[in-house]
Amino acid sequence: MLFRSALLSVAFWAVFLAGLRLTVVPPETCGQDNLPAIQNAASQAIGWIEHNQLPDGAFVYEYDANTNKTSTDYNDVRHAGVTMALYQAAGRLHDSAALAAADRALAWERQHLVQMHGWSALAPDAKGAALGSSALMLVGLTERRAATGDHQYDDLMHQLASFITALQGSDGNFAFGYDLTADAPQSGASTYYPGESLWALTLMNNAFPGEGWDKAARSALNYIATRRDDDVGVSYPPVADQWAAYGIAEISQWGGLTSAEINYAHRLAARFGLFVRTEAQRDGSWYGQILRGPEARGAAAGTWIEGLAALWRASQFDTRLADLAAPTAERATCIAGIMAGIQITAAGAKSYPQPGLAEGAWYQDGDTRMDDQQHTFSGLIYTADLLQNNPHREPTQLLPMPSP
Amino acid sequence: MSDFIICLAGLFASVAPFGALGTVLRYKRDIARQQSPDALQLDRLTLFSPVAAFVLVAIAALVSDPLLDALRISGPSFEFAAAAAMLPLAIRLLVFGDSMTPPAWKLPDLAWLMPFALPLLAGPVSLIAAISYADRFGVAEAIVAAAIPLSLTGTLFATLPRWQRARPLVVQMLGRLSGVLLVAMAAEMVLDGLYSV
Repeated sequence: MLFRSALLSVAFWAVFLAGLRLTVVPPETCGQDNLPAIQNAASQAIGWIEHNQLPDGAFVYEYDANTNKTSTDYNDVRHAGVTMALYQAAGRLHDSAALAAADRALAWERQHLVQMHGWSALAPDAKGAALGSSALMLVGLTERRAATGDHQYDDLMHQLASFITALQGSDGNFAFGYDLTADAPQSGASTYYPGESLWALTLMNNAFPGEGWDKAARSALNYIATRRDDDVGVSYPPVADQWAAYGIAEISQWGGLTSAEINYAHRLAARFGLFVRTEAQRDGSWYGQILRGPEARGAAAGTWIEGLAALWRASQFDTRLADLAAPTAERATCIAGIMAGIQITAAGAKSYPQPGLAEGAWYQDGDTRMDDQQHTFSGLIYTADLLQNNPHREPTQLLPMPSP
Repeated sequence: MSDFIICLAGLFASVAPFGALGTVLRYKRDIARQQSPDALQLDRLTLFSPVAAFVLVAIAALVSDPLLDALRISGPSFEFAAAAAMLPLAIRLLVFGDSMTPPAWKLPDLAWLMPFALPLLAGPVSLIAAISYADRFGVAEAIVAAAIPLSLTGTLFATLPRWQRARPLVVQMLGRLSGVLLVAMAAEMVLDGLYSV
């Protein structure tokens, strides 16, 4: 009787725990989570961007391998982001080809600048200037300055930064953009433009300390940390905003993060962490894929890596964030390893209709978009930093400028 | 709430001393007519069961890291499973006020070990909770926290004759309160899993 009863109890728990294993906690795997694989994946990703630049300085925006067609759409915010990534590659990887490609992309941006009221803004359609485009263009220029030591665009940087602050309200929030026809700020709220602007302002302050850009940056972070998610109607806050994480990483080096901002940094890290754990479960088993759905696209996973690596950097400078160091490093490395493992290799690219549009890319359902490579590249290089225990984002030596 | 208090509350709810007391009391009433008055071997039950359960829970806490690594589960993800594993015991406590159905068989010599140490005190819920809390708060914290409810359980068993004289409803209500605490700690675990990196 005793044996039978014990057996029944054991059987119940065995079935119950097996059910939990299958449904709640599938195994997590982290792909090629080692430094050489992550560095190699970053090089391959930036190679995709360099190889798929168009003669006018723009890039292949999106490619569907199922139909073998490239999209005719384009997005100036993403163009500015890809240009920024190329300048990061120039500085961090000492990649002269990346610098040349970035300068061609910068020429495209300069052709689409508008100048009004003492500021400049990126506005390809000449009707409206989205805040995010100019913010990321400014980030790109700060990366270029850091990579080369070249100051030729300092005036343009100030004009772009002035555009950002011109759109900032007293509460730290920003207008969506500028209506060039009505000559007035555009109404509306963007989820990510405040974070992009925050980061641009922090880098502007680093490049030009003492000019007061830090005040605008701190105001922007306070808004993001305390009110942004409510204003844009985020259902499950905080929104996974890697731009805000970049901003926090910069301000953590200045000191003076408020307790609300520290709390926000913790919540942000947790959000990225949850996404990564879920993605690792997708990758870990066949039933994990069934339960957790299709893999995230490169642009999404890339932003998680960026955010986690940025918060790891912040943890190195502010003791109140020190508890984030180990878990952010672990999760960033995990998702970086996953992305390194599923990147299209040169051999794998041969099975695509246009191998040049496949090698170094991340595809989802046969589709890749330029920011899949951009975000993942940025995340990978900063994960390589944390694996080498380097909390400094800036290049260590200047890249020589090409002769005119 | 401090980390240790959470750890203690979680392990207290998982060991559920009052739920275990309810089970033992019901069992004693059932067998009193069939066996000798000391069928429960009260001395052994009081001392050996909590100690054996403590050893098992401590082992679970000690192996938490390698076990989670072997299962390829991160600590925060494991918390979701741990919370889910708490539900059957929580339901039992809320409905019946005790931790498990009293065994309907004649007690063996090793009754202090099985069923009273394992699974009554160190059942799957306690072991999984120990693994989860050890990963989250540290092995030493989990072991110390586990010692407290198990010591209380030993004390409750030692004072079994007094509890027998109390109204059954009192012990049932205490067991049900343990169920409420277990539900609360399961919810806390889910939230921590969601809000951990």
